[in-house]
Formats: sequence, structure tokens, C-alpha cells
Amino acid sequence: MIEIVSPALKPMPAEFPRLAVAQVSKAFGANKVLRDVSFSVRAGEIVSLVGENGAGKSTLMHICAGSFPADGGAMALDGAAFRPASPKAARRAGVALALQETSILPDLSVGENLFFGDEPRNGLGFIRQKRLHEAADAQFAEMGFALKSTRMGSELSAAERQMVEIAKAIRLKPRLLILDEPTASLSSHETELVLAAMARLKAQGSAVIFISHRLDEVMEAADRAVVLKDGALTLDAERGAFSRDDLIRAMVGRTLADIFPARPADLAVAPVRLSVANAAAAGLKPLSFSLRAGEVVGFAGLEGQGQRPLARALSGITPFHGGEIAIDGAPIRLTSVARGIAAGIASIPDDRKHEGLALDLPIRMNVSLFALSRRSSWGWLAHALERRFAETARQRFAIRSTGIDQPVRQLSGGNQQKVVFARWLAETPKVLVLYEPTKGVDVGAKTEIYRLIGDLTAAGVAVVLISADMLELIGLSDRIHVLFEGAVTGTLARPEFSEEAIMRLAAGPEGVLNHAA
Amino acid sequence: MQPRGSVCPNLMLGLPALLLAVAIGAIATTWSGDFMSAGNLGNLVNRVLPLAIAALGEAVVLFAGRIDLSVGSVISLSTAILGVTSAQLGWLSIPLVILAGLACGAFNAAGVILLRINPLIMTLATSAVVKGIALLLLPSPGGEVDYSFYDAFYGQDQFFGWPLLLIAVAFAATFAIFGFTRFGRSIYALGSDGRAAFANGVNVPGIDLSVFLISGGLAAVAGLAVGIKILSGDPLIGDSFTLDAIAAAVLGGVALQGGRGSVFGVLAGAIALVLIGNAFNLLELNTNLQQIAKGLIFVAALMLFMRGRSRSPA
Repeated sequence: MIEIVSPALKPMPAEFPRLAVAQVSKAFGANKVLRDVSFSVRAGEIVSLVGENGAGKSTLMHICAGSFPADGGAMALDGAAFRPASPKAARRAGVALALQETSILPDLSVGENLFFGDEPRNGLGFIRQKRLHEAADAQFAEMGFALKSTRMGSELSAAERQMVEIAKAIRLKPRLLILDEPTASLSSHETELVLAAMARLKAQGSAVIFISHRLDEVMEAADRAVVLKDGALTLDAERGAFSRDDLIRAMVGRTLADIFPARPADLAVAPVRLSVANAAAAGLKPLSFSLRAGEVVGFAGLEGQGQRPLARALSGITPFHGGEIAIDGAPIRLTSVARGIAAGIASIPDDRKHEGLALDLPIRMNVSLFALSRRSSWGWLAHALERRFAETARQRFAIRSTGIDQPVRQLSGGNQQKVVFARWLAETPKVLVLYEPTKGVDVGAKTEIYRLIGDLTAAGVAVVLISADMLELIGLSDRIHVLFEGAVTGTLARPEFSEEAIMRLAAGPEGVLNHAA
Repeated sequence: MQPRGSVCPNLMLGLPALLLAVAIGAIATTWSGDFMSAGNLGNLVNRVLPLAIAALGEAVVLFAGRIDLSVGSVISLSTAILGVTSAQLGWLSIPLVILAGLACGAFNAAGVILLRINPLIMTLATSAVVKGIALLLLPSPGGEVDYSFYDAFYGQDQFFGWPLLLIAVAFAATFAIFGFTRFGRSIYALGSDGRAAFANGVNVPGIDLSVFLISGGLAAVAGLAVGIKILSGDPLIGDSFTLDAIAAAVLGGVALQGGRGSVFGVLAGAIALVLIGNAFNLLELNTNLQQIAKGLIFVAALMLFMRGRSRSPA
């Protein structure tokens, strides 16, 4: 079905870039995700696409790969107009996409996933299962990936799923390979393997676009960097013509000092607000840490190393097993969200659409949801009180909207997140647990959220910040714990902060050894 | 056992149903001497046939993560068409019935694909429509099916005959499709994870259309088997088949959420269900007890095959 006759090897007229994107724009509802983006990729070139969460990178790559069409603009592949109607059409044209949200089919084996839609068949059209597994194992061996073809898709870890996804895309020897955050869940060693595979493809004449949040990786592997900010292109520079700082400035539109609140120099004298001693949870080994009043403690790590269980346990959604949790020195039993709230813990979930907001209800009802019990008399809502409360919250949190009666669905990601904050911060908590607080939030709203966090810590709130965003972790935290397989592998103090230092710890004990060697 | 891809572990899924069938058979044999008689075995094959074929079609839909609640009505309609037309049309009424079944499948598919109606609701609605048509055609059981149909197909109700061959061919072909073709794998893929399947280039509307056509077509074949067996039409006879077909599939290890199940498990499930009914009859137990037993087995099968599909959302 999908036939790619190594088009990468065919000589192409040099004057045409492999992919040219001209003034592509896209909106989802009222939300403009891409604004007139133009850039191009040459054959044999690795281009890194950089930008913050929600900058429009994934949307742009999905358009290139045929997942959905652009609203405006045009694309050309080797000089010919390129309008893929589906992922399949794009693949047939030689554009392969490996998604961050992987497309591994859980009920098929790894090999069956690798060859899906392109299985080796005999003359009768029957799939040659044995040949398929042999070919898959051979490819994994060639790439150095430690994967077995006969394992089931459902057994794979996040990193393994990502490896299969990448192997799938590379197997097609595409004209253009697009990797959407290929390394977000990979250790340093696995990342090296992926970068090596990219280099091999490049040597064969393919073009590669890879999205990454890790600037070290971009500096190392990219021939050119293209930066998106809020859906518009802000930088397009050849290797050597840009620095790390250039990338950051292009991503966020200002220098870091302007975005993040200043941190107080010394918090060692503040009283301990939250202490967690020897508490374990599903996916989390026994963990001990403490936060002083006004302190921000960050949790970093590769994807799926215990961040989610930690966030859920701290907010009371899933229980801690054993150990002791204390707030202001008084032990608490954190067995439900309600108990957490009563003890002074507010938590902002990462998935605001599913866990945080009722999208079709107005701002008014969303912000007062948590404060509901306080704003009712004998179970009846006091409407005037609710309206006054919501209006105050709208102003305090700078929620950009037509009014408190506007449904939350119509707001931008950043303003939706502010509604979540408004709800949980109706009363000032003692401890604030943030899990990916600025995912899918534009830079403007992000800055406002960071300022809010700064104000809260100044008022003595202790903040747990669980995030995959390195800039955010480094910019906001006073201390960073690094998680690996559900345990803390190291702790960094503010002067020691760097992406590299975090990544080294994030690879786990083995990674530390690798680096030492 | 080292799984070698999706085919082998799926074969294992049919094991509980097979064991259940064997166990019921063994119990029935010890309690009633008639069970293993040649007459009863031939009778069993004839009873297994319509349920097995209908369950096979249902299973194909379930593999894709959809469901078809119109199977029973299509069976009723098939017998009604056969009963009304076979006197005039003769053998031509058979392709007519199959076309009607395919049309029902196409109607289901149209609602699911074009109008994006949830399959559960769409096929329930289709079921009502089709049942209405069957009742219009043939308001009460009747019509006539020529005995030559019976003679040609069921013969002397022997064990080795056309019904057994039809079961064998239908299941072997479906097994080959799901084990070794891209088409079958695409159906599994859709049921396993619809979004991932789309991202992998699966033609989702095409698969939806295919599975509902297969289900409608096979239900019509099951209806033919029923109509020829009773030598008449009956606009309500198919009612119990919808739940029985789903139960047979689930008993055979088919996941209601899609993406998992074995073709032979479905056959074993259908055999087990028919044996339960047969054993109850031979032991002269109350038929209402039979309903209760079937319902409980359905729930037990669901519990048996429930698995933690809680994949971390990465």
C-alpha cells in the first residue's frame, strides 16, 4: 500500500528545497495557532524546530504530514505543490512523521507495528509473519535499539514506544522525516542513538525536521534552527549563526530575567511548610523531601519517571502508601482531595480540559466551583455572591474574556489556565502543587502565571513545581529534585542549575556512569 | 510461551470457551445417553450454524471496536424475505436475502460514517427499522420455504454435511484474514486504538463500511440457515440472536472495546452457548433457567477477560 522506492537516493534539482512552506496559517476556532509561517528545508539538512509549548510547532508538523490541512498558505515538496490529504498520502509522497503522542497499536506486536501497512507478503497476499519479525529485529539491531519484535505494543514503556515510533518513520527512508519531540522520554544514551540515526538519514540525502525542547541537543545536531513563538516565525538561522541565548530570546520574546520573578536569596530561615517522609505511591518509590514557606521546589525528569503519580498523590487523588506527610509540622492523612484542601493543599492538574474545567460552563461557575460550599446557604447557591466572587477573580487573575458569563471553551489556553488558578486560589493555600502549569499556554499568559507564583511565594506559600519545561524549572525553582524511575536521583541547588546537569541526573544512575566514563 | 505477534496470544483466548464447551458436553453425556447420539450431534451442528455465523459477523465488528445490535433483526428479515419470496423466486430468493443483509449493513455504516452516530445507537435504530420491515412483509410467522431447500442443505441432519462445511470454511477464511492479511490487521488496529490507526494510514471509513457489510451479510446467511431449518418465515425469530451473538463473541475472548479476540474463540463460544441450551433441553430443565444461566455466563466471561487496559497516557 505504501510504496517508497528510496526516493531519497534519486538526484533532485538542486534549486528546489526538499520542503518549502509558504505563509501557512491555521486556526482552531478563535484560537490562531499559526500565522503566515514560511521556511524551507533542504535535502541532506537537519532542521530543528524550536518553540515553547503551544507555539504551534506540532500543528505545523501535522500540516506537513497530512493530519489536517492548513487554512491558508502553500507547501511544495521538491518543487512540486504538496497538499497531503491524509497521513497516508503524505507518507506516499515520502514524508514520514514520528509523533510525540505515539501511534503504537497496543494489541499488535512491535514488529507488526513497525511494518504496519507495509508488511512483507507472499504471492497470495498473506503476511509473512516470520520474515516480518526477522526484518524488524534486523532493523533494531542496525539502529542499536534494544527492542524485540515479538513483544506486544501494550507492554512497552514510554521510551520504548518512542523508539518504535522513530524506527517506523526511519524504516521508510523518507524524503523528509519529521520527529516531534523524539527525545522527550529518552535517556542520554537513547538520545545519542536517535541523533545518530538522523545523521545516517541525512547522509543518505533525506531532510530531517526535529522538534526539541532540549537546547543542548539543538546546538549539537541542527544544521539550522527555526523558532516559532505564538504561531509566528521568530528566528531562522544556520548553524553557527545562532546561540543558545538567541534561541531563548526568539522563543519567549524577551530575556529570561523579564519573565521569571526574582527569587529571594536565602530561604533557610523560613519554617518548614510541607514535609514528606518515606512516602511511596504506585509508580513512586519511597520519597522524602520538604519545602519551606515561600520556597519553590522543582521536580524534573524524563517523561514518565513518576511525575504524574507524585502530582496525583500530593493532591490526594491517589493515596500515598506509608510514610508521613506533615503541614506546618502537623501530620495529615492525605487520603482524598477534600482532605488535601482542608489541610491547605491546592493543586493544579496538568490536564485542565479533563480534570480542571467544565468547558461549556461560564467562567462564573468554573471559578466558584471549589468555593461552592462556602458560597451557599443550606445548599442553595447565592447568585449575587457568586457573581461578585467571580468578578473579583476575573480581575485579580487578569482573565481576558468578554465577561464572567463567557463559556470557558471560548478562552485561549492561557486564560483557561488562569480560570483554573482562580478556582484553586480562592483561598490562599499553604502548599500549591503545580503539574505542568503552563502547558499549552502562550508567553503572555505564562509570564502572568509566573508573576502570580512569585506573589504567592512572597506571601509564604510553598510551591511544588512538577514540569517538563526546563526553562520554567530553572527560572522558577529554588531547588530541583530529579526523578528517575520513581525515585529522586539527585538534587540541584540554584547555583548548580543547568539543562545539562538536570539531564545527567535524569538518565538515572547508569547515565551518570556513562557520563563519568 | 513466547508470543509471536498478535496471532498466537489470540488463539489462547479461545481456550476457556473450548474448555467450557467440553465440560458441558461431558456433563451432558454422563447425565443423558442421547447426547452423543448421531442424531443429536447432527442436530447440534444445525443449531450451532446460525449462531456461529451471526457471532462471526458480530465479532468482526467488535474487533474494530464497534458493535452491531441489528444482527437479530436482520436474521428475522432474512427469514421473512425467504418465506415470502421463495415460492415465486425459487433459488433466486437466496441472493435476494444476502443483498438485503448487505443493505442493512450499508445502512448501519452510513449512519456511523456519514452522520457520525455512535454505532451502539445507530445499529439499535437500524434494528428497529429492519424489524418493522420484516413485520410489514410478514406480520405473523408463516410463508413457505420449499422442502427442497432443506433437503439440499440439511439433508438427513447428519454430522458431516453442508452446515459443517459452511462453518469450517467461514471460520477458516476469517482466521486467515485476521491472522495474515493487511485488511484484518487494519481492523484490529482500528479497534486497538482508533487515533493511532488513523495516524498509521488506516482508511477508517473503509474499515467501518467493511465490518458492517460483513456483519450484515453474515447475519443474512444465518437467517437463511434459520429460515430453511424452520421451512417458513418468522419476523421475530431473530430477536434472541443479537445478545447470543455478542455473548458467544465475548465468551470466545473478544474484547468489547475492540482490538482483541480470536476467530476460533468465537466458534468455541457459539458451541458452548448452544450446548448449554441443548443440555438444558435434554435434562428437561426449565427454559427460563436457561436464560438465567446464559446471562450469568455472559457476565462471568466479561469478568474473565477483563484486563487492565490502563495504559499510562505518556
